[in-house]
Parts: sequence; C-alpha cells; structure tokens
Amino acid sequence: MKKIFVFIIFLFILAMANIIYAGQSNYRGKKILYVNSYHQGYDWSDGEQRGAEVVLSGTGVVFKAVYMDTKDNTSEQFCKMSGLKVKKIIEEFKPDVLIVADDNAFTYVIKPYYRDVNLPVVFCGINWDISTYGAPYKNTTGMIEIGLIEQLYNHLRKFSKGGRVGFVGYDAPHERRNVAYYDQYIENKILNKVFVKDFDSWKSEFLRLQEKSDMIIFGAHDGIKGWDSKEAANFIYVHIRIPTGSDVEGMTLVSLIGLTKSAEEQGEYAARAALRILDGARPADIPIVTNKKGLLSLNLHIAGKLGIVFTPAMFKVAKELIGQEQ
Amino acid sequence: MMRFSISQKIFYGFSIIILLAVSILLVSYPLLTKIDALSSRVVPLEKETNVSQEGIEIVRLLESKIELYVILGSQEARDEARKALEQLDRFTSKLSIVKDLENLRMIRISAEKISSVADTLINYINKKESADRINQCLLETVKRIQYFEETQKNFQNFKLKQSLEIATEEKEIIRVLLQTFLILELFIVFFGILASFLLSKIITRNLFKLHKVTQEIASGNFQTRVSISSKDEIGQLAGSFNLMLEELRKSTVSKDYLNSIINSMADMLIVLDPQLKIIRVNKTVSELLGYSEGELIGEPINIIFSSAHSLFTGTEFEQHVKKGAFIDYEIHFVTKNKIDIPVLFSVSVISDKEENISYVVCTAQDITVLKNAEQELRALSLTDPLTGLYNRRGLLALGEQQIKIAKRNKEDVMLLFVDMDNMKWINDTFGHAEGDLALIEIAKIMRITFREPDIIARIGGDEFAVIAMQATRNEENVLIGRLKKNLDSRNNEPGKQYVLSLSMGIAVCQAPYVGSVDEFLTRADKLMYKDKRDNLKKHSD
Repeated sequence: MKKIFVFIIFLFILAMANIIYAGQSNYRGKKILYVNSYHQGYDWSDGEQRGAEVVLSGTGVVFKAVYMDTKDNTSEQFCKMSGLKVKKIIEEFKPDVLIVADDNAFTYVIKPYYRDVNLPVVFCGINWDISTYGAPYKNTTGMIEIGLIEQLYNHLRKFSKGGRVGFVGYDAPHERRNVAYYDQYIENKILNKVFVKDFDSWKSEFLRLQEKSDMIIFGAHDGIKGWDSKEAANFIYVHIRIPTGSDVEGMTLVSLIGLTKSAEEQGEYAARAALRILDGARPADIPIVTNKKGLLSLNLHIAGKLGIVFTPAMFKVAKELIGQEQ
Repeated sequence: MMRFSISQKIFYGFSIIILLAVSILLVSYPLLTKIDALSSRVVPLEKETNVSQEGIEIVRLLESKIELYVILGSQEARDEARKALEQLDRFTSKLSIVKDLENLRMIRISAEKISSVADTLINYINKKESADRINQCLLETVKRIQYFEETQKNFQNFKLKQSLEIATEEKEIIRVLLQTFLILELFIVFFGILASFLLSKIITRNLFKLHKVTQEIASGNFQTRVSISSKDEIGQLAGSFNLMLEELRKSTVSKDYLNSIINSMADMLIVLDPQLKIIRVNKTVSELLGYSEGELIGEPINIIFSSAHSLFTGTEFEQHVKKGAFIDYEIHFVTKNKIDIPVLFSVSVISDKEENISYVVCTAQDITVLKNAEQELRALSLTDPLTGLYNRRGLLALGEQQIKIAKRNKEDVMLLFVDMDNMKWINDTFGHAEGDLALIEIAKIMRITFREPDIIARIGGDEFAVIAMQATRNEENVLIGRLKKNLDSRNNEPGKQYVLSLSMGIAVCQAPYVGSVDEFLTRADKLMYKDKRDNLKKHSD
C-alpha cells in the first residue's frame, strides 16, 4: 500500500514537472522568420510587424525580421532579387515557421519557392483574395486584408436618404480592382464609379455624383495630380450635401465617417497562427480569415454641416474625432 | 516527593491539559478580535462597491436612453431619457446625504457632471438645436460618461486593492493563528501522550508487581511479598495483600514442602484422575519402575500393572475403585524393562460433595526383599508342614547332634526306617487329599508310639525315619511291637476305608560307634526294603 502511494506521488510530481517544463519552454529554441514586404518606417507594415512582435514577446521564440523594401522599389527585377535574398536567409536561418506580410512577400518568396513544401507559412496583409496566387497551399494559412466597406456602408446608411452609392477615386488598376471587391461586399450598390487623374476632376466629379447618389465613398488620393488635403476639406465642407465615407486613412478629413483597417490586427493574427503551428497544428487546420477590426473616425464639421447627430455609441467607439471643440 | 492518590494524579493531569486548552483561547483571542475588526472594515467596503456598481448601471441606462432619443427623437424617448436622468439625480443626492459614502465623492461629482450635460443635451435635442451643438454636447456627455466609467473603474480597482489588502492581512493573521494552534496542539498532544504514558506507567507498574507476586504464590512460593511503597490506593492494596499472604503462609503447606515430603516417601505414590489416568507420581515410582515422570503422566494406570501376576486385568481395577478404598493387595508392577516387582498396593479415593471421584491416590510398597526372605526361610525349614514332623533336613541336623551326644555318653542309638505301604494305591483310589490324611495318621501313630526326645521325621513322600535315643537292642522289638499295636488299633477303628501298613527296617548302633546319620539311614533303608519284600511275599502267599 505504501509503495503504491509513493508511486502515485512520484507520477504526480513527474506530471506536474512535465506540465511546468512544457509551459515554460514549449517555444524555447523555435525560430520564426518574419518577411516584411516593405521597409522600416512605413506605417502600415510597421503596424503589422508590431502586432506580431507583441504576441511573440515572452514566448521564448527566436524572432527575426527581414525587409524586402519593395514599397519604393517596385520594379519586377528588384522584387525578384529581393525574393531570392530572402530565400537565402530562410535557408541559413532555418525557421520553424515563416510569416510573410503583404502581397509582395507572398508573390516573390512563397509563390516561387515555398509552395506546398514542408515549411509552414503564415501570411498577412494579402489584399482581398489569396486565390489570385493559386493559394491556399497546403503549407499556408493567414489573414487576408480587406477594406471594411460593408461596415462603412452600414454606418453611412444610418444618415443617408437612400442606398445608392457613388465612388470617386484615382484612376489606376489597383483602385478599379478595389472597387470591384467593394461591390462584392455591398452587393453591387455602387451605382456610379468615377476614376479621376487630377484634383479638379475629383472635385467636379464629386459635385456631379452628389446629384445622383445617396452617399459617396472616397478611394485613396494617392496618385491624384494636384491633390491638396486642406483645400479638399474646405471644398467638401462648402459643397457637401450627402454623407461621405472612406476606408482610406488619408481621406477622413473629407469624410463624414472614416473606417480604416488595423495593421496590428494582421500581424497579431499571423503570430498567433504561427504559435499554433509550433504547438503542432497543421497550417491547413487553421482557417484563413479576413480582418474585422475598424478604426472609426467621425467628422463633426461635416456632421454639423449636414445636420447629422451621431449616436453616443459612435462617439464612444470612435478613435478619431475631427472638428471637436476644445 | 509528594504522594498523590491515583484519582489525584488523573485529576491533576487533566487539569494541566485543560489549562493548556484555555491558554490557546487566551492566545488566539486577540487574533480573533483582529479578524473581527477586519470583517467590520469589509462591510462598508461592500456597501461602497455596491453603490458604485449601482451608479454605473444608472449611467449606462441613461446612455442607452439618450442613444434612443438621439436616434428616434420622439417625445416618448425623451421622457424615458428624462426618467433616467432623474434616477441619476436621485443617485447623486443619495451620495451627498449618506455620510459613510464619502469615499464615493469623486463618483458623485462625476455623476453630477453627467447629469448637468445630459440635461442640456436633452434640452438641445428637444429644442432641435443645431446638429453641431448637439454633437458637441453629445460628445461632452459621452466624455463625461467615459470619465464616470473610468472613475468608477478606478474606484472599483481601489476597493479591490483594499479588499486584497484586507484579505492578505486576514490571511497573515489566520496563518499566525494556525501556526499558534498547531504549535500548541502539538504541545498538547505531546504532553497528553506523555501524561497518559506516565499515568499508565504509574498505575500499571504496581499492578504488574502485584501480578508477579500472585504468579509466584500460584507456583507455591508463600515467602514472596509485594514491594510497593506508594501511599495511593494500590499501595494500600499491596499492604493488605502482604498481610493476607502472611496469614496464608501460616495456615498453608507450601507446594515445595509437600513435594519434598512426597518425593522423600519410600513407598510409591501414584495419583490418578477420575478416568484412572496418572496425573502425579513421586520420585520412588520413577526410581523403581524406570519411567520418567513425563512418560507416566497421562497414561492409564494399567501400564504399570503386570499382566502375568496382577490381580487387575481388564476393568477389574476400575470396579475395585468404584467400591472404595482397599489396602495391602499383593500384586505385581512391571518396570519399563518388563521386570515384575511384587508390591503391597493400597488405594484411597477422594470424592467431591456429589460423591463423584475427584482423585484416586495409590500407594505401593516394594516387597521384593520380603518375598525373597520368605522363600529362603521356606527353604531353611526343618519341619514337614503336612505332618508337623521333622523333615529329612531336620532329621539329619538333629540326628547328627543326638548321635554326637550319644557317642559322648557312650549310649546306643537306634534308627528306624518306615515306609508306608500302598501310598500310591491310596492316592490313586481316594485322591491326594486322602493320601495326605493317611500320612497325617501315620505321623500321629508314630508320635504316640515313640518317646518325646526321639526324633521323628518324614524324610520323603511316604518315608518316615525315627532316631530313638537310649534305646537298646533289647528294646527293638518293644518299639516295633508298640508301633504295630498302635497301627492295628487304627486299622480296627470302624469306618476306615483302607488299612494302613508299614514296612520297617531298624539299624542299631552300639557305642562306641562311628558313622553318620546317612550311613544309619542307608542300613535301615536296606532292612526296610527286605521287610517290604517279606510283606509283599506274605500278602501274595
């Protein structure tokens, strides 16, 4: 009887020691390589990487980041060279999990070199649709980056007379592609889509769109020739008659409501998925998701001009209030 | 050293334990009081926490009502918002009135600010003020609500911290209390065990002494005494016990004494149980029979009875015992080496009140020497037991003496040899008993025929011899005549079944002569046989 009791105590201590050891050192010595498509100092990618680093800090994981610097260097040749450099680093570092942030890292590293291999890959910041890369591969999972257009539409709809949506943005392929995705999410409610090259066209198209829409969504101003944010804000304040909105950070000054994406959300999800893989999960077992968090921006100037009163709930969740009295 | 009775010892022992228990209470009382004081601090803490929680719920209600009023703008929604506002006002009033809720001052101020701005907001909405003013006021309201929430949260955290501090303090007190309890409890347990041990030792030590003495008494030692010097109840009992022992010793024979007596007995002593099995033997039994005491104990008494010579075969002994005591039965015991020993065997029976046999006491005396002496004596006898005459040995012994005397006195000695005729015929016809009677009659005739100093002997089965002293040859015929006359007298008696007849031979030795009695007997024997042949010839003629 005494021997059995001692044996049970021994097993218990062994189990407890195993649990404590496992809890403390499950990730010790494991390596994660983070491939940043852009460069240090770029807000979006910095936000993504920050999110990943916060999650991984204190886990014991060996974390290393590598930058492809393809934001300013957009040539195909540079991107491919950058992809090869990353591949070499991967071979030397021998990570247990690879995190790739944004489309270029996926396009120039994963797609050519790490498609359906044993190395698990977690992506984040991939715009709208991973299937454009022939993904998902059996060794990939992650978070797709989408505009929160549906939520933005719902907010604007509270203050608009009808459901007709107008869009004005820079005339570029990626913007047209974005609008196509917008349409998918809000069931083809964008009746009038206008793409402009310069600031004057933007203003005139805005005035014209007000006549035949119940709300207007702005695309990014990047690329619009002669763009002046301050003047745009003044122009809008003078001429606005219907609610406006945007999911682009730089357009909140001209929007009644802004709903922008969280870069940190992307990095956090990727890091958590990587830890699950280190715990033994297969990438295929982890679902590919889209971002959900939005940063709400309320423009009190425009609201006052339109006679719109926000609800207390909106004020409470708003991250940015434009035009509040000090 | 002080002397205590057992009851005093138990009383003082338990008193000390009770004192220790009381000391635990005394030690723990201040700590328990401190815990009570801490508990009294918890009560307002709970009350403040509950009130602040109530505040946050009222504010959230107001917030939701304003939200509805902003969205709906209806009179009804406005009334609901007003009601919520009034509820908030009552809450702030309560906070300012109740004194023991002073710690909620910041919450009260914060709530009052909400109330103020919310009132303005409701008025703005009601008066359909510009959206800009309403938004700014709404923003201010939300900010103040957020501030209230933050204040309430901080307050809750503060109270939580206080609760934790109290809990920590309580935990520390309880730890000290438990530690104290544990130490004192251990001390009590230790002391209790020690006290119990000592108490039991004190009590049982003297009891063991008594027990040991009783065992010695049981083994027959009446000289032993209890050596207890304590004055308690057991000491008194020991004193009484010793007195009893002294009296007992005077009136009781000790076992050793009894044993020494029994073992010193020359006779054998065997004690049997009611089933007649041996339960005790003395040393003499072992020495004579060759058995050890252990070999005999438990065995039936028959084991020592000789089957060849004993009177007690089968169940005869048992039947004798049932009849009661018997003495001096001449029987034979048999030794371990199968040698018979003649003994004089006596038995006495010890019975209980119901006359049931308790013990059978057997004594036996070895009579081997006696029996041997008897045999020797029988061998040395000079007389014939049947006729009372001298036997051949007697004739020879006395005859030699008489011949020596006659030789010294120069006197003649006559030896008459007589043989009874038809002895075999008488035995065969009338039996040996009759034959014996015939011999006795011959002896009688010879006694009355011869003189007192003459030596008359029966020297064989039907042969007689007489040494007649101072008899001369002249008297030879007188003696024979007298013998025949006496024989005829017998034969002539009526009723005699047969006639007695004798053949005789006489040898006369004249002085001075030489020779022994045997020579005279030989000469007389020859003459007697001549006479016998003559008689046979006469009868046959």
